[in-house]
Amino acid sequence: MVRQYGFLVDMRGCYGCKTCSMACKSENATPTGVLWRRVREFTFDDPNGMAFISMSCNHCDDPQCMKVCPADTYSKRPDGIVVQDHDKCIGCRMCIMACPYNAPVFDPVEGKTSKCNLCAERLDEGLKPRCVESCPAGVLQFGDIDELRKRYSADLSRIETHYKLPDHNISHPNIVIIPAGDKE
Amino acid sequence: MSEYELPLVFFTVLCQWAVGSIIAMTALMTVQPIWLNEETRFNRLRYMALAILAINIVGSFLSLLHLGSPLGAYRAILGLGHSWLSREVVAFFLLNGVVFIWAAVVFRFNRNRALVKSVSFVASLAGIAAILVSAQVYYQMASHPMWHTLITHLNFIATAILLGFVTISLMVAVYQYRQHAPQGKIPGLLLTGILLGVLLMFWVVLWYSHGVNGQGQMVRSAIAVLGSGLMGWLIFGGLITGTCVATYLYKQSSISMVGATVLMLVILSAAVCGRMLFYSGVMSQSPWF
Repeated sequence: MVRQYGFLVDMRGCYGCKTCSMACKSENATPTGVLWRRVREFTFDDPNGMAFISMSCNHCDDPQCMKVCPADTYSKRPDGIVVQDHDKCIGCRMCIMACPYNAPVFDPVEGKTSKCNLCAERLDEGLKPRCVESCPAGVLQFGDIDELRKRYSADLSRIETHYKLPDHNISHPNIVIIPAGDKE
Repeated sequence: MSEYELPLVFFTVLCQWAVGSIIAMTALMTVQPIWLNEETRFNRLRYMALAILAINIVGSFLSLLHLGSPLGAYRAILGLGHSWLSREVVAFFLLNGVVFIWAAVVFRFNRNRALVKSVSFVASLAGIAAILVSAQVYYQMASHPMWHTLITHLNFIATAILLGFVTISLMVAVYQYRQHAPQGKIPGLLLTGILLGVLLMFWVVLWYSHGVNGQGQMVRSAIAVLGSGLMGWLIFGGLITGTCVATYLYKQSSISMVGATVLMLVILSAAVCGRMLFYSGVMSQSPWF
């Protein structure tokens, strides 16, 4: 039994095609303007360069969305996936304000918020999350977070400083990031 | 996402105005019992109590406009065990009940002065508790340094004290203007309350300024707040006008209804601007990553 699922993002191979984002949108049929997975771009001057981080919900150990939600919409499954009971959402957007990674997205037409559920239905059928399956460069990987961390132990604080990411101590995200500059 | 969160701005400012006014009215009853004993003066308090009740109810209803699905608002109490927003909903539901009882007691049972004072005291405490629960909603969000600080609590309390004490001081001054009688002094406690509100608000503004020396999101929030024209109105309308009102009422203990209305609107609009800055300081940074 997996204790906690998570993602690994290998920035070294990402060239910003955004296939993961589109595959997610297609799989989950999210409304216009609602993207559960986004690809952030970073540009550097010294030396000139560009890097990308693909990120959705990090299914944190201490999910801030779950903590602030007044309608008890969010819950954490035994395998660590943070899922939302969409019917219960009242559209207060507290989860959006609280999530350090901007994972929940508000749909003004429906008046509700939604977010990545790590393709829980696909996982239950033994399939991979759609974003992982669709990535042409093998940038996104997925699995037991302990296994992923064993495979690559990056200093998250250094990555956070470099890419201006939120402090991981706030929510303890289940993500491993291999920075673009690291050697193969 | 709306940068200013206007429904939340008006919800918090109006409800804090109502609570501050109850506190100031309780202070007035305590230091000048004549307001409880003299019929014409007590009638002023009775109508003021109804106005405060209306402000609190309107403010509470405006909070519903923030919801994307207002019809599901009843589900907002399901997270009572962990969510401060759920606790805020319950707190303001209860506060409306307490303020209703308070207004009813002031309006109907005016012969029992001790009861009026006791209920006013309880309503004041309930109001302060509700404001602190409100502040916790934002304090709970550890990823936003501008909210995750006790300055949030101070900000909310400062707004309540400033608006409440200005309101009741002006009410007393207008009453004295209309009576054409030998004027008594505006109670020092009310004027001290105004200056305390100004001082606390000034502390909040100074803390925002200090944020420029911080790091990460705090610097961006501080720059957004200090660079906004709304800050100018907060300083002029809240800090400077508030101080001028206290000084004027110390020297001159009466004012016309028109003058009082203009001053109240200036200070109220400054409080609204201050709250807009409170939300935009964080929300304008979205997406924070």
